[in-house]
Amino acid sequence: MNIVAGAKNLKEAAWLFSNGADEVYCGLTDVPNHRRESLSIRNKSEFFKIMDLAKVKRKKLLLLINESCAPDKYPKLAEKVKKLVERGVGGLVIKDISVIEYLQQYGVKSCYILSSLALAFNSKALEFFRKYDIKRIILPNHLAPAAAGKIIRNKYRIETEMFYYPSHFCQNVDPLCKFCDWSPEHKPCKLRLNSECGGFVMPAPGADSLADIMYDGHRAGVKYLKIPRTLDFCGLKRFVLDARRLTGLLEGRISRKEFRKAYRKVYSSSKL
Amino acid sequence: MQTGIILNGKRLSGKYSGLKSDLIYLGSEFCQNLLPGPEEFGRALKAFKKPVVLVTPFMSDRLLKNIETIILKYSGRDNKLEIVANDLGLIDLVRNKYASKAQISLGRILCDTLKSSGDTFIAKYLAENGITRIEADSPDVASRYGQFGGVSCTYHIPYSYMGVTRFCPWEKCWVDKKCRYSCLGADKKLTSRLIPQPLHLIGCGYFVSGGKPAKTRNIDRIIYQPSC
Repeated sequence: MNIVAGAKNLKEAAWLFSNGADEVYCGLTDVPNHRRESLSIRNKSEFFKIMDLAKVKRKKLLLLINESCAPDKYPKLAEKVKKLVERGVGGLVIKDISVIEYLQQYGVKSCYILSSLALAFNSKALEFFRKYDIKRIILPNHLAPAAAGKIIRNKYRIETEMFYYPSHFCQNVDPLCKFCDWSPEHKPCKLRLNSECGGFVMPAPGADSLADIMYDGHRAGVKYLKIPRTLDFCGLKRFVLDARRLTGLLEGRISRKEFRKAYRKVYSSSKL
Repeated sequence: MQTGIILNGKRLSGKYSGLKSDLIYLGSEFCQNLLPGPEEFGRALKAFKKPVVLVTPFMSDRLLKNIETIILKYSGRDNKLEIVANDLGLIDLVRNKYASKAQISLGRILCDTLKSSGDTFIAKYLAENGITRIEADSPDVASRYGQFGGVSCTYHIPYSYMGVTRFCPWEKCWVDKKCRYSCLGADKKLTSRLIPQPLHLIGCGYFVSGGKPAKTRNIDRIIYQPSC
């Protein structure tokens, strides 16, 4: 599996390129992307340095455009993205069909990667997105590879990518969850709620289920493993090194039982 | 104004058969395991003796076959099967293969997802897929799509969705694993002084009480979600 890791600055990107990442992806503060601003690069010149470094290392830099924006902003967005692609961005991670359409009509030629937020849950959805010349699809977080066989083994040579979950997993399908805006200080997915039957916590898959995602994804042929951006550089380093160790075990044809054991060790030590 | 009630597609209850509603919404926009199979859909048609709309969520591949069977079996020559769809793949499948047999209504999740796209894009998407109805449970979505001529709106009461999961909060596993339907006949009211209002867990969806229906002119159907 190739590792695709998120970086929020040049220092992280440089470390990632030198420590096993085949691709690095970044957000820019003036291009709509899904996470908080502190995880994106503010300074264009820093972004260009990462781009140049990727070229030297013969690796790729991907740009995130995985958040919606008002349609009246599309022309400026397209102009910006076109220039970045011409400068050397190696791929675009996009969520909205309307944005993909606009960029393509504008003449932005790139490797289009369908975000996990695009809600492509089955092979028919993949066929729908194929007309947009998608080269790769990132499996939605709430679609385990065991249920995504037809997507992964598609006949169109569209590659697949999946997330690596060292410690955190959203209990609800992103981007359909409204809790962050509804109750930003006290998100119900982080609380112990009261119900008639006692306390209630929104459940998330445990370490074994997360291990199975990685195990099944590898066995089915998922090609890329995506490591999310983090606020903490030390945490990012640990995730990448752990991911490399785990993918190494998978390449060595480890059994599911043994892989779960190895994953559990990594999972409990990665809890942030 | 048409009225209807939404029921899960698994255990049909006889208590709703005498209801004075114009139609039945059968299935779920929030859980693929609550879709009726072909036999269950047929039983519902016989039991309720009124139009039954198939209600579907976004779903993994294994559910699509059942939906195709229902379309082939229960659509008539002059009578398209109405399907509430939240899955881009299903909508594309119907467009390419079953356009003469099925009529898509754009479900609440997809309506919410697409609402921030431009008017031109939305109008094109609706037209290309022959969509003339949308589903909404919030005034902003109802009014957003009210801008498109020829598009009617079904308004869902009394709940408005806040989130959906595929890691089932009842079974504590992925919805693609074996389901024991432990959510049937049960919903949970979830409270905390730290959140603005109580949440309701119904199937795999989290909802808040949505208040009175919106008053936009495109609403011509009200669907009621009964509590368990």
